[in-house]
Amino acid sequence: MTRRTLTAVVAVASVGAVVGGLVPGVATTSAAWTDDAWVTAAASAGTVDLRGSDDGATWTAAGGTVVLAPVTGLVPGAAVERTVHLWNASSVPLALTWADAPATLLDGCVEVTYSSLAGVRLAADPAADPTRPADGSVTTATATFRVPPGAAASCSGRSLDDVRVTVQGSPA
Amino acid sequence: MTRTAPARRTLVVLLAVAALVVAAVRLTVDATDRTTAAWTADVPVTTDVALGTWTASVGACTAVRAATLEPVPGRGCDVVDVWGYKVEDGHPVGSRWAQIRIDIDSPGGYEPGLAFLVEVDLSAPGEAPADWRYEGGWFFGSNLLPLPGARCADLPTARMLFPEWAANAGVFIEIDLREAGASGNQSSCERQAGG
Repeated sequence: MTRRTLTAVVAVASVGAVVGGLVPGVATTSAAWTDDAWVTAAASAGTVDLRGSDDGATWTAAGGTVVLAPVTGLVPGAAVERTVHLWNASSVPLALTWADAPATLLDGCVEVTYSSLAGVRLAADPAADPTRPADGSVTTATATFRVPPGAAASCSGRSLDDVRVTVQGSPA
Repeated sequence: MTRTAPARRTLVVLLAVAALVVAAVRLTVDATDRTTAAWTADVPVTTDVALGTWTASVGACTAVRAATLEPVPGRGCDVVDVWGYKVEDGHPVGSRWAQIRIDIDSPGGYEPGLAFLVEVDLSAPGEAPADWRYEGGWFFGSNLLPLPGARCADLPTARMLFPEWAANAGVFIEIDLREAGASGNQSSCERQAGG
């Protein structure tokens, strides 16, 4: 192999390695691509935008919090259900999961169960008209609050503000 | 062996193509990984939770007609408390007796012929000695109304018929709970033969 040929091979291989992230320094930079720069790049390929509502008519802005009606008067054996409406305003279909969903509250005085979101796939609706979500782009999810029968009297009258649960959408 | 010039050029081209393929694959994998990891959107949901108030269930109460024991529609009744458990001193295990007080509540005021069918687990308040012997025992309350079918053998569950005035505020019914070997003949429950 002549010197000129060897030089060419090394040059081409180096370009490939750098672009491919094979050089350690580049690999480190790549791993740190989890902030704004990368988000912008992802957004250029599509948007993920899941909106929520307490009534199915007025929707939150992207990332906004849905405030549901308070759950009051729970006593043993009774159950109260709260529903959140979900709308996929993304440019891609979304699958849904419950995230940050507590199973009990107030030291076990309240049990919380959630409707299944397994298999739920919301169609993309990037038109983003909150008054007319496209068919298949909306659904509902429910959380049911219950005081178990036989709950201790020490549970009586207790309360907890700002109970938080989260529904998460990811590309289906 | 000496390679010819065309062979070297072919080698160079192959190396270059291989490097570019590696680069392309790496870029694709990177993009997919990052997209999967961060392409999510959350909808936070909040609410406030407040429990109602209740008391521990210590018994059942039904408003009835005293003469027929038929339930009175629309008339509520609750066992509010079983309390004041007091074991009399000086009696051996198996021959003891204890005083127990029972509160009921029934909003609605006086109604002629009204009575209250009460069923309580006398061991539930947790004040009875752990070694209390219910078998063969009985209970008696001087203010209780006769209740056919109330069996002493059901202890620690006691079925009793309270008079109408027992629902008045601040009023309680006191009963004596006795072990099999305790003295006394009066009973508000039906004792087994020889018991």
